[in-house]
Amino acid sequence: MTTAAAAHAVPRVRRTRRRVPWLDRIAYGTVVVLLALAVLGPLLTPHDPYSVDLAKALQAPSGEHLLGTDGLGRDVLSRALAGARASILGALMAVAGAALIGILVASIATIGGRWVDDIVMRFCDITLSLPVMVMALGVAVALGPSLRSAVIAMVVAWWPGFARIARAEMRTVITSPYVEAARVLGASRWRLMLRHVLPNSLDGVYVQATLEIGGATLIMAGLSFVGAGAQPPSAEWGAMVETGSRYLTSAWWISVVPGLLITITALAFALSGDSLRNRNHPDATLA
Amino acid sequence: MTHPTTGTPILEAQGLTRSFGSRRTTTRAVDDVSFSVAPGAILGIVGESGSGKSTTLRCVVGLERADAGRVLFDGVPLVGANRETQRRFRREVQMVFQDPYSSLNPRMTVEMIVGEGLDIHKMAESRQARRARVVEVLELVGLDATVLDRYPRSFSGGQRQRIAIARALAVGPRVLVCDEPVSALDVSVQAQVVNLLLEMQQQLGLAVVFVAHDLALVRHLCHDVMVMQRGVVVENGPCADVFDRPQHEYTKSLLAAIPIPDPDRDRARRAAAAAERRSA
Repeated sequence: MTTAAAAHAVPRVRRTRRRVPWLDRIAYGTVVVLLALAVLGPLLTPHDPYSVDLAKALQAPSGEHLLGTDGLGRDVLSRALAGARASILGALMAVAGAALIGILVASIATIGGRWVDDIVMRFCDITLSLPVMVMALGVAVALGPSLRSAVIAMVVAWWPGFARIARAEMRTVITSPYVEAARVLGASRWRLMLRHVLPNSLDGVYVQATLEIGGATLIMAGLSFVGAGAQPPSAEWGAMVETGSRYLTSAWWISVVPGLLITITALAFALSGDSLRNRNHPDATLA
Repeated sequence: MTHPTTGTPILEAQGLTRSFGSRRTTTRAVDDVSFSVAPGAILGIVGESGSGKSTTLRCVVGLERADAGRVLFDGVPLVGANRETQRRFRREVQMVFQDPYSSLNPRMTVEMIVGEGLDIHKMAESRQARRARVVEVLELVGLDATVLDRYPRSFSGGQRQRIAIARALAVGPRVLVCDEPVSALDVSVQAQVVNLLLEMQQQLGLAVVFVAHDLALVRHLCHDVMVMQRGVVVENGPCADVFDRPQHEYTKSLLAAIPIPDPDRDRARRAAAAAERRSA
C-alpha cells in the first residue's frame, strides 16, 4: 500500500538539543557542587570550626590545617565548609523569599484593576530607586544584626525587582486569547490566575532568580562583612573575610579562602542564570 | 438553505457603541450597531480590516465593555440580569477565536482544555463522566481519545482549531460566536473547518455569529449578513438579497473584489464595471 510506504518514508523526528557551551557546563557543575556543600559542608569539616586554640593561631597552610588557621587558631578549611550553609542557603532563601513576594504582589496588581496596579507598581519603583545594598543595610541594622535579619532585609530590598518582571509578563499573558477563551467560558479571576496566567508567566522570574542568587551571595557577604549580618563566632564567608582582613599582610589565607568562595559562588550562579536565560529564548521549545 | 427567522431572537445587540483612544482622539470602533440572531440561524458580519467586526463580537461576549448599548440573551438584558442568567449566558454563548496558535493554553493537555468549561460550570459529576464528555466532543469534531494527554504544540493549525471548537461545544452552547475562525489557517484546511462548523451548527441547532472578511465564505455559510464599514452597519439583511442586490456602494465594492475563478466571466464583469464607470 502506498500509505504504508509513505509512513516509512517519513523521517523520524529527532529532538534536537542545543549544545551546551563548556563555560555553562562548568557553571552548572559548580552550582551543583556548591549546593551539595551547602547541605553537607558542616558534616565534612576535618576540625571543629569553633574550637579556639590560641597556640595554633595564624598558622600557614600545612598538612594538619590544609588552609591554615585564623587569629584564634580555628581551622580555616573547616570554617569555610561550615560557612557554606549560611552563605549559600542564606542567599537562596533571600532570593526565594523575594521572588515569592514579588510574584504575589504582581498577581495582586494584575487582577486588582488599574488603581491597585498603579499604587503597587509606583511603590515598587520607589523601592527600586534605592540601591539594594543601602536598603538592605538599613533594614538589617534596624532589625538588629543577625543572619536572619540579613535574609529578611534582602527580601525586603529585593522583591520589587521580581514583582516588576512578573507583572510585565502577567500583563501580556492576561490579554492572550487563551485567557480570553477561559473568560468566555466563565472562569473566575482565581482560576484565570492559577490555571492560565501564573503557569505561563513565571519563566522570566525563574531565570531572574537564578541570575540574582550570585548577586545575593555578594550582598549577603557584604552585610556580614560590615557587621549587619552573621555575627562573629558563627562561620559565614562574609564575616570570615572581615575577621581575616586584620591579618591580610601576615596571614592572607584567612580572608582569601572565603573571599574566593564568595567570588566563585557569585560567578557560578550568575553564569548559570545567564545560560538559562539564553536557552529560554522564546524560540526554544519548552519541555 | 432554509431560513430560520421565526421565534424570538436568542441573542440580540442594541445600539452597541465602543470608542478607543484618549479624550482628544477617539475612534468609534463600533458605532450604534444592532442585530439579532434567531435560534439556529447563521449571521455573517463582513467588512474590511478595522471595520469593527471583531470589536462588536468582543462587546457581545463581554471581553470588551461597550460604552453604550446592550446585549439581550433570550430576550433578557444582560446588564442587571440575575446571576443565574449571567451564568447561563456564560455557558450557552461560546466563542471560537481567530488564531488557534494562541487560543489554547500551551501548558494544558487537550483533556484539561476541553474539560475546563465542564469544571467551571460543574457539569461533570466524576472524573470518568468528565473524561467521557470530553471524548464525546472530541469525536464530534473529528478527533479521538488518543489526543487527551497531548499538548497543543503537537497539533497542526486545523487540529488546534478543532480542539478550540470542542472546547466551545463541551458545555453545550446554543450560540457560537466565531471571530474569523479560519483566516489563520492554511487554505487547504479552511474548507474542512468551515464544513465542521456548519455540520455542528446543523447537528446541534446552534445559532452562529460568524465574522469574516471572506465574502464568498459568508455567502456559502450564512442566512443573514451584516456589512460594516468604519464601525457602522451600512447594510444588512438576508444573504441572498444583500449579495444579489447590494444597495450600498461599499457593499458593491466589496462584492466586486471577490475573485471569480473563471477568466471569461471575470473579464465580462470587469468590462461591465468599466462601461458603467464611463456612463456615470
